[in-house]
Formats: sequence, structure tokens, C-alpha cells
Amino acid sequence: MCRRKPPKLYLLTLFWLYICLLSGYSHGDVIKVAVASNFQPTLSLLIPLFEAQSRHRVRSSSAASGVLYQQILHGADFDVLLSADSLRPQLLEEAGKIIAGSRRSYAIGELVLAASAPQHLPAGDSAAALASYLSAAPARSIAVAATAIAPYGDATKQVYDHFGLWQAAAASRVTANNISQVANLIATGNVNAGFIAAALLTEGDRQWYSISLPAGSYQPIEQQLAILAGTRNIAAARAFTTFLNGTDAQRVITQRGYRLP
Amino acid sequence: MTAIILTAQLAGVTTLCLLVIGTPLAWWLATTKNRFRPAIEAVIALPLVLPPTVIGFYLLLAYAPGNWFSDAWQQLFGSKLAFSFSGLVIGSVIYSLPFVVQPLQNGFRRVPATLIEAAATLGASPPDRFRTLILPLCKSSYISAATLGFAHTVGEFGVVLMIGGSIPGETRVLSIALYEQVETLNYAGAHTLSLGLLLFSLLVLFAVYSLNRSDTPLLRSGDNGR
Repeated sequence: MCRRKPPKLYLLTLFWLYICLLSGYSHGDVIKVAVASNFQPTLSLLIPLFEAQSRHRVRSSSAASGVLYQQILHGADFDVLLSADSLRPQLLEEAGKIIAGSRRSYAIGELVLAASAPQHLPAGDSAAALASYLSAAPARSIAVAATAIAPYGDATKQVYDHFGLWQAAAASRVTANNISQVANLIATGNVNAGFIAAALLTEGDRQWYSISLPAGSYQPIEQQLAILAGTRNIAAARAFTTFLNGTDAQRVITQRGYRLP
Repeated sequence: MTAIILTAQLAGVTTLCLLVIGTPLAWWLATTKNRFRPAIEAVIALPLVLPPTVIGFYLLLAYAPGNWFSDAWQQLFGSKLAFSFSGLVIGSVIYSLPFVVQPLQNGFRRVPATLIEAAATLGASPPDRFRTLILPLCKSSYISAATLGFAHTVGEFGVVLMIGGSIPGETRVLSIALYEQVETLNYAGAHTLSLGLLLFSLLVLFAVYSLNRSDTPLLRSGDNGR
């Protein structure tokens, strides 16, 4: 038994070194970014661009903005927040959880009604077609993100309210935790259609069908970022947020289906 | 309040299903000498170690229209499984299976074979033997199994989050309602639900441990005779 010990120890040390390397031990600062679900695919395109021109590394974790807000309020160890709205960064500023003046818009999100087959969408692009589609949708056939925690869910409710259908069409809706889960429910065929961010349509090689929603049926989804007050990498965080407002990043952001602030 | 009633209904129906499925399964496991027994036991114990997201993911695929399972269900019962109470029951049965099968299996194993043989020699038919001999002997195992199955279903979260769709009165169970209270900063509501669940779980576990301490004397003599 004794003879076996050294190789095991050796392997363990190698493994530990490997983990250290993986976690970017020897590089510049690691910026921890909390990102709203809708922006995660775009961020994963932006990170290599940023890392190519900076010695900093970025690690992201995504969830519904409301969930991230909660985590930050309770002292989660992030450096930058990319929210899907402007309300939560504003609340965090009032609570002293972000660096004053660091809050600014980085993208304007577009909400779409998406499906994995064209026959599951309204017959046309008109507001009337959408209204009759929403009011006639079969039970549990449309997925929406939770209105109270996901900004795109809140925008979805505004669309329903625009037609006065929020209560009337309640039976046709199922609630998902965030828009990524909505996209999942559509992709697996558990619902016919759902309200997601236009940005998610370009993710992966899945074929989506979607319609944009009538102008004025929901408030623009102004997505804001902020640097958190507890950050220990302020220079790196500033470099990253400056990069996001720069031309390189903005080109990617518009390609992904957002408008610029 | 609807969430509490719904959770109780879900846990109740699930426990009933589990007792019906679990009894023959546990009996077979307790008595068989089949060499595949460890494999079957491993499959049943899977929900103990798997993240609920694994079960949730596969159920999400299984419930989608076009899948053979979901289509067969639709043919049989004429209703969709996704985002339905029945869908949650199936998920919960899988999720809580080991919590019912394992106590039953342990109970059945402790029934002395000699006793069953004696009953058979005296002319008791298999259903008779089960009703008048095994059931009374394994009463505490049944109570443990039912309470644990019920309580574990009440505590279910990940699976329901993935396949439920948070429909009030149909799939928005307590754990989901609690999650939504926390996410919307309604801490007063969250405290009420959390404290209630905490006390309920404590009571259930206390009851199970108390029962396990006081097995019936007959069972103890059975243990000696093993």
C-alpha cells in the first residue's frame, strides 16, 4: 500500500496545478460579470474581443436580472452588473451597492414573439393579427418570463396589457423563470411560442421564426450596466465597461439584434 | 393558500402512487436472489444522488409533443403532460421513489421467512398472508415510507421549476411560490412559507425517527430469529 502513495500524491499535485492554471491564476485581474440571461450569448462573443486587447480575464454568470439584483443586494462577489433593465441598477445605486456615476446604458433590447415553426405564429405582422392570435391561443401554449423578476417578462405583460388581454389570456400562458427558459420551452416543443429577446434568435444554429411587436406596445427595454461598490478590480472593471461602450463592442451588440442607447 | 392545498394534493397523490408501485417492487427486491438486483437497486436510488435538473431535463423532453411517451399519454388520457398536475405527479413519483421503496424493502426483509412459511402451511393464500401477516408486521415501515415520500415531494423544487410553468392551482407548489416571494423581495410572505415548511419538515422527521425507535415487539423477535 505504501508504495502506491507517491504516484497518487504526484497526480493530485498535477491536478491541483491544472486547476490553478484553469482559473487564470497567473494572468491579470479576473473581472466577474453578472449578466442578464438575454445578454449572455452576446457577452460570450464580446469576451474574446476584450481579452484579445487586454490582459484582464472575464468570468460571467447569468440569471434573470431580478435574481442577480438579489444576489448583489446580499453581497455577491461581482465586479460588473449587466442588467436587462435600468430599474434594478438604479435601485442598487440608491442602496449604495454600485459605484456612483458608473451606471449607464449599453444596449436597448427588443422583445419578439418567437416559435420554432411558422404555423405557430400570428398570420401577419399587424397588431390586429397579434391580438386575435393572443386571445385565441390554446391553453398553456405560450411561454412568458416571470413578470416580477425578468425585465423581458415585464415588457411581455405590457404587450398583453396593450391589447387588454393579460387577464383574459391567462389560461394560455405558462411562466418561465427567465427568457432562456422560455426559449428552452419553445425549442423542446412544450409550448407553441413564447416572448423572448430578439438577441436570443441569433444564438446557436437553431432555426427560429419570429415577429416583432407593434411599436409602442411596450416601453423600450433600456439595459444598463454598473460597477459594483464592492469590487477590488476597479481599473479592470472600468476598462471592461469602457470597452462595452466602444465601437468594436457596439458593432457586435447591434449585429445581435439590439439597438444602441 | 392555493399553493398549500396544491402541494398537499400533489404530495398525497404521489405518495399513494408510490405505495402502490413501491410495495411489489420492494417485496421483489427484499426476497429475490436475482443477480440483477443490485442494478435495479442502483436505478431506484438514482434520484438520491442525481441533481433534480437531470430529471427535469429528461422530463421536459419526454413531455414535449412528438415524443412517444407524451403521445401515448395524450392517446390514453386526452390531455397534455407539460405544465399539468399529472405531469408533476409523474415527476414526483420518480423523484421520491427511493424514499418509499427503501424503507419498505428494509421492513419486508425483517419479516422472518419461517413465519410466512408457517402461514402458508396453515393454508393462508398470498393475499391473506400479505394482509394479516406482512402488513401488520411492517406497519412502521409503511408509515416511514409514506411520511418520507410525502415530505420529500413537498420539498421538491428543481424538477417543478423546470417542468411546471408556475400555473396557480395547477403547478405553482409551495417551493415555487416561496421562490417567487423571495425573488420579488416579499420577505414577509417568504418568511411565513419558509417557517411553515421548516416546522412541517421537522415534525415529519421527528415522527419518523420516533417510529423507528419503537418497532413492534414481534418484529424484534423476528430480527433475533433471522
